[in-house]
Amino acid sequence: MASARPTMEAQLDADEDRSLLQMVRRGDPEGATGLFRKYSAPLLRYADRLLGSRAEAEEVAQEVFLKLIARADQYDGRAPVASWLFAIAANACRDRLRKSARRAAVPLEAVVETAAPGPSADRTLLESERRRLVRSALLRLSDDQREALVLARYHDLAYAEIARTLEISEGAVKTRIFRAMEKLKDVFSEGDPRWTAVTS
Amino acid sequence: MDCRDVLRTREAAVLRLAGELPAAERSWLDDHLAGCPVCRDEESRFASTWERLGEDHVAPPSPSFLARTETLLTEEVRRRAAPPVAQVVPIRPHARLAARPLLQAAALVAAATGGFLFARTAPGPGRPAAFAAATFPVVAQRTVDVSEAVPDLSNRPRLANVAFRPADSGGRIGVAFDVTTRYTVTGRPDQKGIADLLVYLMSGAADTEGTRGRAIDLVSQSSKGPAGPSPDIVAALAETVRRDRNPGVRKKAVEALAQLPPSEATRDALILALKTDENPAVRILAVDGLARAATVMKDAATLDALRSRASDERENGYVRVQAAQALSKLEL
Repeated sequence: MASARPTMEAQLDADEDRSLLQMVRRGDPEGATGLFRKYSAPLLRYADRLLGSRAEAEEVAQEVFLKLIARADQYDGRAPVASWLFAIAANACRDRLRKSARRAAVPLEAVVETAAPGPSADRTLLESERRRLVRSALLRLSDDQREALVLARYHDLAYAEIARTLEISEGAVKTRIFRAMEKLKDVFSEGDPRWTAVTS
Repeated sequence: MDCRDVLRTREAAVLRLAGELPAAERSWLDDHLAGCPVCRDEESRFASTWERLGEDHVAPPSPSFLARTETLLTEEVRRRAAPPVAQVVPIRPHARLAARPLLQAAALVAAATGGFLFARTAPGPGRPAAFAAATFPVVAQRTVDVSEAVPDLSNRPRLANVAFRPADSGGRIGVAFDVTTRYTVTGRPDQKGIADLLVYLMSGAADTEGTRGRAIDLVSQSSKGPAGPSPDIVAALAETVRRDRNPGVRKKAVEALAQLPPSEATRDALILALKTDENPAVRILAVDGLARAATVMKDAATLDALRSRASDERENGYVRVQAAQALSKLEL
């Protein structure tokens, strides 16, 4: 449970985040831009994986920081600022998923990224295809399972931290991640012949 | 083939991948897997699934997204912080006003710049004041080489949209900014004019944390030469540590001080940061800097400051530990 332990770096980070939030409260824009620079990339990754759309993920990332500015006075300091930001992002993603039936028709081509130069064309194509299949598999999970798994797998959050961020019990986190892994295991190893085709 | 413990194994395997499996359960899992091929296969599939998830890379935020969102957030914070009357947008002078009568443009420029003037040569004591506003040319863009003229910053003009141009083959960087006209001042970072400008920016004249930090970096790099830093630079870094409201900028300033050749001035600035900065990360960097300086100077003031931090029960635990470790190395 590496991320659950209060390491020196984590503690200093948390202190710095609080300082930046204080600046936001005082009306200093550098507080908001400082937090944005620090957390825009992980929040964007998080929203991208939950929504399956880069454009929407960027909108969510902006929405998160606009809400942070609007609600800076409401932050009670019980959870780290980072958890608070992820909680806002999780809610914003849930709202979007609820309001939209778009998910069934996520254009998976959109998640294939331009590969870095270097590898051969075949290898690049293969990597893109593997990424597309992973993203496709993630989008087959329920929203609840996906948001918990993404926080654990890609953001190294401890279950306790995920529980706090998603406002659910640790038991629920454990169940959601276990079920998500069961489903993905089936998709990757047996349930999806495309995976075998790509990896063989 | 079946195993009655397969569900327990699956749960434990997932918990282990997520870093959540307690130690006792870990040894049970290892013992069980050693003797159960069915569960070993299950565990291996979970591990493979976890690994494959790592193949989903997401591109980092694009520079344009970062830039436009930072602008959006800056405007939003300012909008919320402004009192209601501040919604009346002040009219600022702009280069387009050049079309108006010359006298009016000159007056606006003079008011907005607060006397920001460029001398055509090194400033001479006897230059008549009347030269300033009456003949100041309003142009869209201007590049000034500091070997020909240096900016007059004595009236502390507000410099906006500051940008840095990388060094050319001769080591000459560019520092661009807007007053009403956009200037690009070129020269080596250690040349008077550029050095003054960098010090001025890092001392609070730049609007953003990024600009102040970049100015500190450039000053720090240019001070690593055999001549060392000028007293002005050390004083400006110390002032930044004392006054900058942004902890990130103060950290950079302390780092820069720590990397300079140790002197009484750098030591005093680091001690001040250690004693007074509200941010523990800044204080830890100050401890590092003092420890490094003490290996050369070995003075009592540094050791006292470190001892005082290490023994202060109100101090942050990490700072205390860092100070104690530094002392133990120094006193060996």
